[in-house]
Amino acid sequence: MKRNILVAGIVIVALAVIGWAGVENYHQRQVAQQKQQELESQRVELVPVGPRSTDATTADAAKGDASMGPEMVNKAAPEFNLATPDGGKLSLTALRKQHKALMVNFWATWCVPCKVEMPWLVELEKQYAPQGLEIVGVSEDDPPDAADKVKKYTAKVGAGYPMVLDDGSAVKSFDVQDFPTSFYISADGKVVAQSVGLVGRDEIEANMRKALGGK
Amino acid sequence: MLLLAMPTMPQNFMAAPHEFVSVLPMDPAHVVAGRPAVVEVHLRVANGMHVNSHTPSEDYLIPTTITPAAAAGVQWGAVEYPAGEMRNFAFSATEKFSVYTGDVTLRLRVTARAGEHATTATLRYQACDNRACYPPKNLPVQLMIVAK
Repeated sequence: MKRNILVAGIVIVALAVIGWAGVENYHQRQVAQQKQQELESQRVELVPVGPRSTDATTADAAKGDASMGPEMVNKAAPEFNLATPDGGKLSLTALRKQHKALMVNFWATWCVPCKVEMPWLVELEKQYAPQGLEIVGVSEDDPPDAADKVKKYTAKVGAGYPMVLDDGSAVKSFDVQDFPTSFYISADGKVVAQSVGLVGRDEIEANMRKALGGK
Repeated sequence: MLLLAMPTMPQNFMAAPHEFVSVLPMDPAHVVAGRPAVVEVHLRVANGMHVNSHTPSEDYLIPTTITPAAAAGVQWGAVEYPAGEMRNFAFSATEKFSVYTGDVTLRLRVTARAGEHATTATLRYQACDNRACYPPKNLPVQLMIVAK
């Protein structure tokens, strides 16, 4: 009899221990799950800084770069109608009527990085003009001698593509703050890529291809 | 000639976005009335930026200048600019440019009549970093001269 009571007692204790272990295990899993949910809610997505050159697929990533200004990619290129160094007028609309794709390059004679890329633009313009691409340089040189400075420098480097002299309106409508800055415009008038600051020749060429409808 | 570190009232110390040069806070400059003196204006070029020196390497580059405004009782003389440091940058590995970086002191020669003279000067500079340049800027500088 005593033995039966002892066995029953051991069984009861064993069952109690198993039950307690189960409850404790359940409790610990609940705590762990709650901690995981808290960590999830505090998680910050780290994304790489956007590239200097952006296109329709990378524009969102580049918005973290304060120097980029508002993105123009996927937007219609703003119109301009500005004086040329020779005293004429040239508008974006007129250029778009004559060419399949455009590169609008903001630069100035006081900007050394702009001058680094200009010989590349001369070469690339010759290479891609037969496919319908044209470059237009928008000079930010100040009057009264802007025309003379632009003519002198473009003659020196053999830049034969069109130039206009910004009166402050184009830099504002395109929201340009850094020089050089370039916009690549496709046949439908939309900006398909934008580069801020000096970028490599290959990157410029890739953006030109994109404006021409390539990938 | 008296040499005085001049500085005026605190101004432009916190550079706004795309303000690449700040004028360090300055106290009124105390000079002897009618005697030639030098007023110093202390500039700070933002970290990672450079501006052309007063004598840039190329004639197409815009020099740093400071131009005091005409003021009654104040006769401005020549400005002494520091020599630029010759540096090359990522965009010009082989070519060096005469630039200012960090802290820069400009020395303005002045002779003032007795009295307090609140006047201004215009600092003109053009800044770049390693990948881009920014349009020339005119920064007003407040100057207070007390001549006794």
